[in-house]
Amino acid sequence: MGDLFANLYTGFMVSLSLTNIFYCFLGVFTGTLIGVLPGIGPVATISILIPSTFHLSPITGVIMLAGIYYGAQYGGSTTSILLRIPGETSSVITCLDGYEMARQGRAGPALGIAAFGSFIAGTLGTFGLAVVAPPLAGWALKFGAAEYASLMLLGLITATFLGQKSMLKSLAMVMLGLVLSLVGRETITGFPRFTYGVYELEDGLGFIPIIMGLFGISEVFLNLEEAMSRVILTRSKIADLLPSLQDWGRSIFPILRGSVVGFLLGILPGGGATLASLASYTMEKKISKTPNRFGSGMIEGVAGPEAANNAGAQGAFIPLLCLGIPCNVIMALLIGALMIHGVQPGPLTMTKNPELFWGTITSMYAGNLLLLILNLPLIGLWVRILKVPYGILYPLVLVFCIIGAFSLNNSIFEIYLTIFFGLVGYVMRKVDYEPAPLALAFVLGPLFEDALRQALVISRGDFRIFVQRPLSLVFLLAGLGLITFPLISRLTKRVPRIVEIRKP
Amino acid sequence: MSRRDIVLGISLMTFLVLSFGLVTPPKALASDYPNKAIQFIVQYAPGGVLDLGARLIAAGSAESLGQPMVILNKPGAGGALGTDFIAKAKPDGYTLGLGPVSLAILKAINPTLSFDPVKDLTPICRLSMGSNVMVVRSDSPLNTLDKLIDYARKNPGKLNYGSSGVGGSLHFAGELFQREAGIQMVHVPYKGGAPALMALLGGHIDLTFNNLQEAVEQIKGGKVIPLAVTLPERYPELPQIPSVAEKGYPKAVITSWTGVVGPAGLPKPVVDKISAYCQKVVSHPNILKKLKEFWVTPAYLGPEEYGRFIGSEIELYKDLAKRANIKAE
Repeated sequence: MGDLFANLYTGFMVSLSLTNIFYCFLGVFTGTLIGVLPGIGPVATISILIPSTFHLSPITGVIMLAGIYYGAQYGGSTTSILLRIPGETSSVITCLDGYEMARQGRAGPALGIAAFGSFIAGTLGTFGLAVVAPPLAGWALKFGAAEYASLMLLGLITATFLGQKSMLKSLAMVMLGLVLSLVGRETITGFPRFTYGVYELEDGLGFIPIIMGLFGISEVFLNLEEAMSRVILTRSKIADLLPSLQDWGRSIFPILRGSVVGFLLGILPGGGATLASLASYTMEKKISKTPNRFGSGMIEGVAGPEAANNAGAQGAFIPLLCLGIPCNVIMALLIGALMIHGVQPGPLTMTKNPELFWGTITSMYAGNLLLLILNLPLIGLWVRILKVPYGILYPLVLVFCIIGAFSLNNSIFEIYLTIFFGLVGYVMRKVDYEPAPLALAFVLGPLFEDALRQALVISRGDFRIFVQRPLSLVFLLAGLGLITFPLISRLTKRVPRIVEIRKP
Repeated sequence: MSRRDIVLGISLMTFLVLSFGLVTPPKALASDYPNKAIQFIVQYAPGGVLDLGARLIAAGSAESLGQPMVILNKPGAGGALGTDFIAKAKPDGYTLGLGPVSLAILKAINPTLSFDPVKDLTPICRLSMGSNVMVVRSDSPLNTLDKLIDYARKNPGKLNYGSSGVGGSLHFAGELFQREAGIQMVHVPYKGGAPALMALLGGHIDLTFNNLQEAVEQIKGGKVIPLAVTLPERYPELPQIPSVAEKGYPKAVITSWTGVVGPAGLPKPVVDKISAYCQKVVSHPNILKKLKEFWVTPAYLGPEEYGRFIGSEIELYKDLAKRANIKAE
């Protein structure tokens, strides 16, 4: 423990220097902004800003770039709540209850609990990084292809429970998401699927065009017909900006649970943060006494997932700092930024370069505090956005969505995709299909397929690999439980009803 | 049909440009070029080694060439999207781009590629070469190349090797090595070198082929044991690792090279000017230091040699693709 404090002291000496605090602020500020702007995500921003860190010291550069990353997690929830446009894969879930809360005039508490939840998760995440990073890095390595495949399957099953209305419809959406995720070059043999010779399709459909279309643009279309919803929004009082004591009571445990789950899943390469928010939401729904009210503006459905995705963003640093292995694109970019300075994180970073290791970790704590201070006053401003007349707000939303889609790969094709999925999303909403299960399946599908096929290559085609490995078996059983419990409970409930019908 | 039109169009354009070159004194063109910013296409997303390398090249251009090079990232389809953009640009010297090893790979695995890396591009110069390295886990009993080959010969198809993905340069490195060593292993493709390395560390696969730069920290940290670099000789900064050539497999040498290309029919003065500029850049001490930090070796080749080099690499990859049945049509 003494060591820990000595290390934290080393870290804070670095991260609290005037220069580093300044760049940390610059990072989280930029992160918040780009998180709020739909489409322009942290990946694009960090890659654009990497050259600007060349003249900084490596640690200052990393502190700023990391700030953009977790700052964007804060900002990403804002558009989910206000406009139903998830800025990031990990904030798809926040749309479900966050946007409903905004429609009921509770945008302030939703944004507030997202900010506080993120802060608490960030604090816990930082502490987690400092205390248990090395053993957890070892835990992450235990995840082989079989474990991933089973975990992703569990994630996909979970996604079918997201829908409020019909599970069958959610299942259909999950399937559609999987089918859409098949487009592009397949991983094991490199065979192009559904590409029709179009180069732009070889890498698959982009996530951003799909969510911008399904969520953002379809919402604009829909609201063009529904003048009613606008009345609801503007009528509400803006006075209650912060979560009430009752809100806190309902949120605190989801935040704590979300933080732990998010941190653990964030360590896993790939869809960590997305799985984290999904897992937290499902968990809260299962624990809740009123699960059927999820999706209609439950604050627990915002607090948990928002905490989870923020903790996940911190967990993602573990493989980078402890093993030198980037577990997502952003971590790979950070390695690139460090390499320019001749510093590369690796298994020896902690001992050979403690300033970098502890400086980065402690800067995240400082950054989370800065984010809270920055975001709380902004809530009032964001909520006022809802007062902007639709005639002005919605053209702006469309413009931002389209700029965001284009800026990803400088490609016009992505704009067409966005508009196409906007129309698809509109039709889906009209016939009561929800886009969230689709979006999640689209993200998890390729991860599932890759892991499944890698596992089968390794086992030479033997499916027993999934039940022989204990962790994998646990995930499969959990998935089986998820499917069967509702069925069993429904069957047992239905029996008397059938009898009743027969009576007369 | 349309491809033919494009080729025809490009040839026509080439003809026009060349005849203009004859009419206007070449000297004037050379001294005039560049008179506006040069668009430099990078076929990969920002932040990777190739992108950073391109930015190093672009950094001094405003000073040395009088005009800035502006990096434009056009990632997608394994580099095909960006290269297609270069091939279809006006051959005026204002659209150039990276010419990485993927040019040869794409041609080898995809017969229906929309451009021909030889006919539709002008080679300007090769810049650098990166090495690949074979690594095993630190507790692996197969901790030398000889032991690994010996085991693999006795147990064909038993070892699993990881790569950055099917049809990637590391997959080809694995296939080439198997061909040369006469062994058979099973390929497990991952999405990138880092996940493959992680699977290796977790004990899920037996060995990986990685870019030197991806694995160097794990090598230094003792987490993995390097068996060999895929170079003709040892890598100067890591002299403890044997090379495949000295181990008796000179034909297993395979590198991730990159260079600069432009659209077909680029005027010679433009080619010469950019080539000379790049040669200056890659021999500059500051850049040499940076390249060392990226774990790549400067390997300049002039326009003609670079063109011939691309041709020979296409042949190598075609052969490997046929052998390993890698195709992408």
